Amino acid sequence: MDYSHEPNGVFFLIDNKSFYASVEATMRGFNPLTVPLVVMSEQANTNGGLILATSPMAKKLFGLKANVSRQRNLPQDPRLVVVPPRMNLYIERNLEINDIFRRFVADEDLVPYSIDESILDMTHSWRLFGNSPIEVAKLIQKTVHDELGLYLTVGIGDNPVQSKLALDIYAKHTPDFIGEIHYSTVPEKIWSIENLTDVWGIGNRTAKRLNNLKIYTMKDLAAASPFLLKEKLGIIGTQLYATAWGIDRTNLHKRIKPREASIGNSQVLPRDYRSQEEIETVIKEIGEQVASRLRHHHKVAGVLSLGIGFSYAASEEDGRGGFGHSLKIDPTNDNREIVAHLIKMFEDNWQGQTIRNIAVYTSKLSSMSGRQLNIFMDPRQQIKKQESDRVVDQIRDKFGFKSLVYARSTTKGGTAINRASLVGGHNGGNAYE
Amino acid sequence: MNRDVKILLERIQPLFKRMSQTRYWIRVVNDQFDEQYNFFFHSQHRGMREKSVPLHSIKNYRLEYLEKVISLFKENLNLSIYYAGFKGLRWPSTNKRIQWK
Repeated sequence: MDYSHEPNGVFFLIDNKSFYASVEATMRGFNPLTVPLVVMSEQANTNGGLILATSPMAKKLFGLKANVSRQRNLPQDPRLVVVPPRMNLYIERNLEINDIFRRFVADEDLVPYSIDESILDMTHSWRLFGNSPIEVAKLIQKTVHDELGLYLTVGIGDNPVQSKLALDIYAKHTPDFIGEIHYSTVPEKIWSIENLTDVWGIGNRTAKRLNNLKIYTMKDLAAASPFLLKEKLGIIGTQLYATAWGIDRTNLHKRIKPREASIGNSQVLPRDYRSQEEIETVIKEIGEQVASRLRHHHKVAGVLSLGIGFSYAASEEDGRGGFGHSLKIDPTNDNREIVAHLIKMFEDNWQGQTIRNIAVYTSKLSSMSGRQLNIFMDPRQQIKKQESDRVVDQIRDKFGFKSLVYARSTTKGGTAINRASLVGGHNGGNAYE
Repeated sequence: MNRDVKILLERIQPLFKRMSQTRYWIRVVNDQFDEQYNFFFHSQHRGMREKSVPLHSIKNYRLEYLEKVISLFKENLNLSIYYAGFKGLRWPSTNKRIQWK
């Protein structure tokens, strides 16, 4: 393979070893690598507890694998330390870590990839900090460890995908937490990967589709026909083929603008909901939350979708997991209109099943350029309603969501008040701080 | 009462359930990364997992102040206190070692 025309640089993909667990360990004066610690979310809807993160030692001692698993799969062992999550603290730490990275790369060469991963394009700056990329990687690791007590794993590659694979496949298992893949080592480092799902971008379903094409390893994938892959898997097929050859033509400086195709919210309920009134309370709350987000983005929605997931028992009985419906509406972001449509959709389709999930999504968004008055209604009344939504938004922006809630949210079944202090569904901070 | 002590006691109250066969203690950490003292409430039922709940962080990063907070705390609640990250440090007024192991 001739790589001479491919983009060639020095890329680091850096991730924090068991990030949430490590942050909690350092706050408690424990060594993140040696303390058996798990971060467990015990919100009402987590059914006893959801493990958000596991320290390396807890993984080793108890054979815990995937991060998100259930409390019931965690042994009752006196050696384990269980701590509640503090999402705001992790966000803060992530910002601090990225600030350290900025000492090593220009702003435009740093791409935060997730809460605990960042891509650093070191091509133009690594020489300032050492004699080899590995030396610089070690310096970055040391700096973060000295200042924050956290351990970093670093994947190094000639392009982003190589660094990602180096991180996922190699860095996590070497003693210095550094892995490397280069164009020259693609055959030994990438083709030797036996398990397709170890590779970034290949999940169980994609692996199965590849298996159907008699592709079982990365070597098989590299040897497959790119035309066949494209025909069978579409654009993803071509992309996977490139990955197998360690090729990535991404330009990190070109930020992708998301299409802003949809705004929505969903939640798992803390228990099975049976009564129509309780269910409609939550639908109303989610509907208002979505409407408020639309207003913050200065958008109106032309399509409204409601997704209802049945409880386990109800879906066994019904044969369906739930139902989902979409409705074309006159573009709006008005609380009452959106909630009224949602409730109608719910009542039209619900046949008394107990439910556990509710999702509300809006699409066909357009920017809000004034309001279309309805000629069959009193215009003053319409403007007044819009104003009241706006005032509520302003009060909440200033004093927090809980400063002003609808009385209905305090009735049995309402979840909005409890969820207001959560980040991504989990405890945001010291609950108080 | 001192504000930090008040916060600590308030937050301990719902957690300190005094159940049988359960050990309760406080962990105080010298957090050099953030230059603050972190307080945690620990509990462990016999043979079960240990739980550790964050209580409060004291931003006034001086041992004199910590000593004052601890002594006020002890006047109000007789819970064992364990220290971490204080190796080699001594209480300013008594010159006793803070952390024993």
